[in-house]
Order: sequence, then C-alpha cells, then structure tokens
Amino acid sequence: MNPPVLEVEGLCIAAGARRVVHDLSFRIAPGEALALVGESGSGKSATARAVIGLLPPGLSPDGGAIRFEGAALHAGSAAWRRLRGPGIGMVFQEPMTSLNPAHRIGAQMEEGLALHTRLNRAERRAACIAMLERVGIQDAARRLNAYPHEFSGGMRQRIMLASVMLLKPRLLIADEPATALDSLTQAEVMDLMSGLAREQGTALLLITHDLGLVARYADRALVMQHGRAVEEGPAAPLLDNPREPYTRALVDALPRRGPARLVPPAPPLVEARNLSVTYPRRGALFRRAEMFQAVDGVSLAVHPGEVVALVGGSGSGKTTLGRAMLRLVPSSGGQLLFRSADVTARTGPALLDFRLACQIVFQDPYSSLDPRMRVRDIVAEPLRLPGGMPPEERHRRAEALLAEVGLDGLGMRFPHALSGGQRQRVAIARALVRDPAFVVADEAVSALDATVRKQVLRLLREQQRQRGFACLFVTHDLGVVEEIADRIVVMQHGRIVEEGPRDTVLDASRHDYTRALLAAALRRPGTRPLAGG
Amino acid sequence: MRLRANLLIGGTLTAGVLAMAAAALAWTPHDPLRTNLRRRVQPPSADFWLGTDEFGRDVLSRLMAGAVTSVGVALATVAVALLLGVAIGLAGGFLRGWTDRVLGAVNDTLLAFPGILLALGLLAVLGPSVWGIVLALGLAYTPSVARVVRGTVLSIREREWVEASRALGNGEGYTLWRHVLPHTAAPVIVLATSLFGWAILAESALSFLGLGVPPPAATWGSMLAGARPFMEQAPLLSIAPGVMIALCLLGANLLGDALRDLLDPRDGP
Amino acid sequence: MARYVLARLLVALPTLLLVALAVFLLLRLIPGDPAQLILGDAAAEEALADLRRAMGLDQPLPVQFLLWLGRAASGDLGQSITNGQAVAPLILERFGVTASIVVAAVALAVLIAVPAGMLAAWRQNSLGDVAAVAAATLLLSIPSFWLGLIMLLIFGLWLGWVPVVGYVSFAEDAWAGLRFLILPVLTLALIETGVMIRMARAATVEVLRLDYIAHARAKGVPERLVLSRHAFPNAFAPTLTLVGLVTGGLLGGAAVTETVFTLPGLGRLLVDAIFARDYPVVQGVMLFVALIYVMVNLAVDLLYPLFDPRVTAG
Repeated sequence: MNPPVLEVEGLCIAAGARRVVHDLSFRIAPGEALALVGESGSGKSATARAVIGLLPPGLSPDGGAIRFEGAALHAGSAAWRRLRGPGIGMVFQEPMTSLNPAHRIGAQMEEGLALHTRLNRAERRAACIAMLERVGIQDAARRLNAYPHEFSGGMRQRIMLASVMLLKPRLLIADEPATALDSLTQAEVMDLMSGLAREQGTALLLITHDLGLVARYADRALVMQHGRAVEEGPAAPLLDNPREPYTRALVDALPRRGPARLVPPAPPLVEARNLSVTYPRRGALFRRAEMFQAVDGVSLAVHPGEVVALVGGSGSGKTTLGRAMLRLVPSSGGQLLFRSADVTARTGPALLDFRLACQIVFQDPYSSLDPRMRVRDIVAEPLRLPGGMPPEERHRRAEALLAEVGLDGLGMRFPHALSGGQRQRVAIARALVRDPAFVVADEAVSALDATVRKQVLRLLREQQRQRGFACLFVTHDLGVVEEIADRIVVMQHGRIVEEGPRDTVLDASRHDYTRALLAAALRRPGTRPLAGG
Repeated sequence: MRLRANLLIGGTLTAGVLAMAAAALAWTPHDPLRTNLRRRVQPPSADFWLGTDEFGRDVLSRLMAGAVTSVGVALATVAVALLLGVAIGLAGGFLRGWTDRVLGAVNDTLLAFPGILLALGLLAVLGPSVWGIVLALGLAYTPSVARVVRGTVLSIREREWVEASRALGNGEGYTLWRHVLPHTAAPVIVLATSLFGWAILAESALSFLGLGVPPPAATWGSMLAGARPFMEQAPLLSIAPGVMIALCLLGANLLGDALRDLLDPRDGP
Repeated sequence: MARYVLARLLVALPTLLLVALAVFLLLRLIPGDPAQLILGDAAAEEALADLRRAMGLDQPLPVQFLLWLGRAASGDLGQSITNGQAVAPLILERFGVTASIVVAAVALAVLIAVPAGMLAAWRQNSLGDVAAVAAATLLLSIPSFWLGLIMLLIFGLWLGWVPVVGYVSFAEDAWAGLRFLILPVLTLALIETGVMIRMARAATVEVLRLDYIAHARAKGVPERLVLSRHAFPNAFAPTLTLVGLVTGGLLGGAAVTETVFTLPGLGRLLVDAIFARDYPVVQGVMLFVALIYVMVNLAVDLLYPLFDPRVTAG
C-alpha cells in the first residue's frame, strides 16, 4: 500500500492561551479527496494553514505531528518550504486578493516554474499558455501580459488554480475556493479543480462549509466543531446517515422543501410595470458616460401575503430591482404601483405612507446597523415616524419585538457585541416593528453560517406567516428559495426570463438559464435531487 | 500594550506642557521680560536654574512663558482650522453638487501651497502679530481638516445603515445628523492632535525666522535664534528650548497614535 | 494608460490657474499703492503715475490678472524692489541650492526608511520593530532647525569636521560644496526618515496580511523574494504619495534650514523679501514653489501606476 500523502496526528493549534484545534488526526491517501467540514470557528482553516506551514501570526502549533509522504515536517524547516509548490499547493478563498495586483499574471504563473523546475524561458511560457487554455482562459498568449484587475472573480480563481497546478503538486489544499463566487461560476471552478486533480493524481484537501460541495467533490469527509473532530467517514454515507448530533444538525440545516402553500388571490400589493433602471458608467475621458441598463422594462407584481423569490446570478439586476421596488434607487422608466396607486414620483408626506408600509432587510449584518446606536434604539427608530408616539411606548414596542425575534434582554447592547445571526435578527426586528405590508429581503441570509441561516430563515418564515406581509426575497441561493418561496422569478441581464409557482419552476423549468442555475445548485444529500438539468 | 504606552507617555507629556503653560500664567521664578545686562549668558546657578540668556533674562522663566505663547497659539490655530475645516468639509460632503465642486477647488488651491509657505505669504500681508500668525497657520491647516471631514462624510454616506435610515422614511437632514455626523468625530479628534503638534512646530519655526510673535515676548523659536551666536559658550541656551519643542511634538504624536488606535476600530465591522 | 496621464494633466491645469490667482490676489490685499511701494515714499507724482500705467494698475482687476499671468508665463516675474534684479533668474539661481538639498535629503530618507520599515513590518512586534517605531517617532518629533543647530554644535564646533557658515556652489568646487551640504542634508534626511519609516511599515503590514502574499509563500517563494518582489511594489505605492508630500513640505519649510546653515537658498530669499517688503520677490517665490509642488505631485501620480496598475483602470 502506498504511504498516505498526508498524515496528521494529534494536531493542536493555539491562539495565545486559547486552543483552536484539539488533537486532530486524519490521513489522505494519494489521489483521494478529503473534505474538512465545519462552520466558522471550527478550526478547519487553521488546520489547512498548518498543513502547509503558513499559520498566520497569532496562531502557532501546539503539539502533534504532520507527515508528508512519510516524512515528518518540522516548523520553519527548509524541507517544508521546498515542499510548497511542487509537493503541496494551496488555493485561497478570495479571488479579489489572491493575485498580486502589481504583477502581470504571466509573471506570477512563471515564478513557480522558475523556482522549482529547470525549464527555460520559452518552455515556461509554453507551459503557462497550455495551462491557461486548459482552465478556459481565451486568447491565452496575449492574456499572459494582462494584470489581475482586468479579470473577473471567477477568471482570477481559475488563473490561481492554473498557477498552482502548473507545479503538479501531490496534495492540493483548497480553502473555501468557491465561497466568494456566484453559483454558476462556483460549479465551473469546482468542476475544473476536481478534473485537474484527477488528471494529475493530486490528492485534495477541501476546506468548506458547504455540504453540497462535499457531496459532489469529496471521497471522504471529516466534520469539525470548535476545533475538534466530530465525525469522519466516506462522504455520501456520512451525509445520508449522520451518526453524531452535530453532523445531523449540519445536514438538517440544508434547505428542505415544505408543502406548497396556497395564497388566496388578491389584487397586487406592489407592482412594477415596465420598470427600468439605468446607471451611468464611467466612459472615456471626452465621451459622455455610457448608460448601463441594470433593469430593462421589468413587470413584476407581488400579492398580499405571498413570498416571491427573485433569483439570478451576479449582474442579473435582481438587487437593483428589489431596491427600485422600494424606491431606494431612482427608476428611469416605467411605473411603480402601491395598492393600485402610482408612487413612481411621489415625494413628501405621500411618499412617507409608502415608506411606512414597505421595509427592507439588508444582506450585510455588519454594516446595516449603525455601530453607535444601541440595539433597542435601532429597533425603536422607525417608530419615530409618523410621529406622536411617546419615547416610552417606542421603547416598549422595541423590546417586545426583540423578545419575539429571540433577542430578549439584549436591547442595551451595541451591534459589535452581537454575532452575525443576532444582528440579522435585529435587522428583521427593525423592519417589522411598524408592521409593514411589504418586506424586501436583500440576500438577507447569504452572509450567515448554515445552521444560523436555517434559524434566521425559520424566524422570517414564522413572522411572515403570522403577520401576513408580502415578501420579496432577493437571492442567488436556490436552497433558500426552496425553503421559503411561494413563487419564483428568475432574472438575467436585467430581464425576467422565467416566473411561476415554486414547484413548477424548480421541477419543470422551461428556460435554459434557469436550468443552468438549477444544475449548478448542487445535489443536496438526503433530499429530493433538484431536477431540471 | 503599545496603545497603553503611547497613551501614557503622550498624555503625560501633553498634559505636562499644558500644565506648565497654565502655571506660567500665574507665576514664573523671575520676570521673563526683565533684562539685566550685567548677568548675561550665565551658566545655571541656584538663582537661575537654567542660567540666563543674552539679555540677562532667566531662561527657565522664559521657557515657561514660551509655553504660554506656543500652547496658546497652537490651540487657537487648531480651533480656527477645525472651525473652518469642519464647516467646509461638511458643506461639501453633505450638499455635494456645485457647492462641493467650488469648495473642493478652493481646498485644492490651498493644498497646493506646501508646508508653511501659505502662512509665510499671509504673514507678508498681515505683518507679524499673534492674531496674524493664528490666522495664517489656521488657514494653512484648514484644507487638511476639510479633506478629512469631507472624505469621512462621503464614505459613511454609502454605508448600509445610512441607506437603511432612508428606507425607514427618515428625511435626509435627520439621516445625516443622526447617522453620519457622529462618525466624523473620531477622525477629527485624531487629526486635531496632529495639528496641535504641527502648530507648535510651525509657530516655533516662524519665530525662529523672526516672523513670529514680536519680541520681547518669550517664544521658544526666538530663544533658539537668540542663542545662536552663543552656541559655543552656552550650549544650554541652544538645547533647552529645542527640548521643549521636541517634547511637545512627541507628546502630540504619541497621543495621536493612541487616539487613532482607540477610536478607529470600533467604527465599522 | 494614456487616458490616465491625460486625466492627471488636465486636473493639474485648473489647479495651477487657481494657485496663480490666489498668489495674485494675496498681494493685492496689501493696503497701499503698489506703485508707491515700489518707488518709495519720496517718488515724484509723475513717476508714480507713469509706473501705475506701466503696471496696468488703471485697468480693471481681471485684466490686471491676465496681464500679470501672461508676463509670468513668459518668464517675467518683475523686478526686485531692493536691488532691481530680475526676479525670475534670481529665483532659479537660488532654487538650485534648495533643490539639491531637498532632493538629496528625500532620496537618502527613502533609501533608509523603506527597507527599514519593510523589515520592521516583516518582524512585526519583535524587539527590532518596536525599537524602529520608537526611533522613528522620536526622530519626527524633533524640530528640524533645532536638530540642525545641534548637529552644527557637535560636528561643526566641537569636532570641527564641517564648516559652520558659508556656502560654495557644487558647480565651482564639488568637494568643498559637498562639505557644506552634508550637514543640512543629513539633518533633513534624519527627520524625514522618521516620517517615512512609519508609513512604509504600516503599508507593509497591511500588504503582508493579504492573500497574495500567502499565495506566494505557498508556491515556495523564499522570504527575501516575497518581500522584495511581492510586498515591495504594493507597499511602496502609498509611500510614494508620501514622498511627494514630504518633498513639498521640505521645499516650503526650506527657509528654516537655510537660516540655520546660512545657505543662499530659495527659502532664505523669501524670508529676506518678507522683511524687506519686496513684494515682487515674495509673489514670485510663492508662485514658483507652488508650481514645483504641483509638478512634483503630478510626477508622483504618473509614477504610481508602475507600482499599482489598478489606478489606470479608472
């Protein structure tokens, strides 16, 4: 039997006095793909960095051994450094900062070859061009001279992959490689990575929180929580039949489709008719700025009490449309109707009515709450308008709502003292305190961990059922759609390409783009596979 | 750790200088202005702890009186720069459009004059006097304040919590007042400490050149200028005022560093 | 790239115009009759009237400005009141002295500060780093004129290594000229090193934290290359901006250094002119220095893309 490519035994990592990884042991056979699964704080990223010997300042190994192809690796040793590149390669999460903005991509790709191989200049160049073409970059020879900022996020991720795989490492560590990409690009990059690894016989250590990725790309999985190993085993059986309670919680956190809901028909509450939104884009020096059509003549109606999911990739215009329907961005054409009255151009007190009844929950829990205000004041602020409510009454209502969303007693805290999930609950409380008729949730759960996401979605769903407000949920995550939507609207390039009841769109979609999105949404273990692709 | 050291040392130094200036308003060992040509350039003695200068005046008393001048001018300068700069920066950041463009052009023009050049030019017109210096330096520092304030306002305006406030139906004025303005305090405070240090340095430089507060007022810069011919025989005269200026600057810089670390991280994620 | 260059040039032009306007207006603020200031109190009424006409003082203000601007653009900055010399050549001559000191000081400071700052950041929180930051903070808190005096005291009077007063132009006698320049250049360089170490260190700390540095290390790039090839260009860019500001600051504050070391530079010219109420000279110097400063910052802007190509994307 071949020795394992990687063998980790009793690894402990400390951050000062605190341990972030306890006694972790696992091994990876040559060519095998192991996934380290966990939520934030599980210690999976620290483990990845420890394997390649690049722990950030503040973290240090505190015990245990790491062996690569049988040989022990010691901290700071030259042997470890020589392994980086040809032995162990690493791909990072953030495509925007993973390539050096000051160097052309050709230079960055050639650097590894120059360090580790004896190829001459022409041979290196040829190898880089070949690899660029393999990862799907067109016009490779010319693009070698381009700078990273000239490429999109997905392309940069491919370039990084290319430059790492050029060195044919025996072990590839991928730290959340697809998290920062939208779902279509995610699938492409992951397929590429998996394919390249298989071609070269590279073992893969995949760090991720996304069980869908685990199901599709890993042979074995190791679940981590709070720095400890919880469960380990072959990927598919582990996800289909988890033994440990935490693993089961993770699997349960995956979206599940409930029964379809019947919403009583009624005239639309909020309606966009032929709505368009254009942004000026910076043009050349002396030419007029070009106009970019973010939303192109879209008509969308949201009825009282229903939840509509607005889905699309980045650049589809869904976020812009969501904001336009609240008049947070100015529209450049078309009409917006609220309770059958035209609100497209309203100002002053008439606009205030509209504002009072329509609310928004933002995506980023870290910047949607004013860091200088206490939580209770944040939730009470909307009650200032239309005026006339005494402060004690406002505070009372705010506290009551905080209790409803599960944040009882946290009213006097500042946002930075709360977790991401708690802050999102505050944002929801703020949106609901005036009992709105219409709520737009703009990627409201995208920035949260899987288990937290589940809880917040459940909260949102309960509140919606209870209070009966209409909800427009903007998202790129089809899993979220499954959990919460009654109707689905799919957008691409500023236009609606498909819409219909949830089950119809998910199971029998008619448009190519929808099908591509569905195919990219990875198979969820334990549920009915998403069909359509 | 570094934060505490900075805060401690910087705070102590700055407080010390302020205390010295305050004390000097009430009392100095000798009259800083009284000359006595028989006691010129004497080394330190029991009566005159730091010796006497070229006119027989007590060096220690003049140092203390100099503190009053320097601190007074510096505080007044910072006040002028803050008043004008915050107003310009807020106007540009809040109102935008043509107001911003005009104010920005004015600001850029002022910024095109490096260092104390603008102050020198203004002094050529105004003539040396305390208020002339305060005005000249204050105007020279105004554009830095305006730029920081405007930059902060523009960046905070785009934050999501500001958008959330608008979505709630809050008026633009209320939103700017409640959600943007409080966040400008921190950068302004940090900048103010730096300005204090620069103002002390600039005032000393100007009086060293002879363009500062007119004699016989005691200023550290003019004390250094006066000590030049006696560098060899009385080095203390050249050393003492410079040490005072350096301590002030050091205190202001360390305090500024400490404040920056204290105030900034809490703003934002 | 061409678009970036053009944009920068176009932004500089209105600034220059406004600067000229500011300088022009500044000296019109002086109470009194400019012709009388030039000719003195005893001048005859006729001579005053002639001069007023020649200076265009009977024209409306905007016309006066344009006339003045036109003359300035063609190199005529008037005559000095004190000795009747043409202002423009005088400024250029003195500028040579100032420029040589400033450029040498800044160059020296950069050569010391950038490696020192980067190394300090590389070994963040080590003893060397703490010492470097402490030293830098100390250095930048020292007033330059005081440091100059102390240096003169130590190296000039006590040790006798350099002359205390005087100046010999480099063009005449290189070795002698160097002896006069060493101390002022060293003084300025020491203080600016303090300023720049902090910036270089802060920028490097930021950069070392980023993914592409970890990526380079993950490829097996040795540390010295990580610092020099990967970290340096990105960390240097903000330092470059600082270099522009520092150069300007030194040009503006040259007066003090030149007074301490008795050098016939531009700053000294300005101060003497202020005392002598020689307004054409004051005006000329202010305009000239502001012009140089704008050009220095323009040069910095144009060099910036070499280190951070992202700015050309607009």
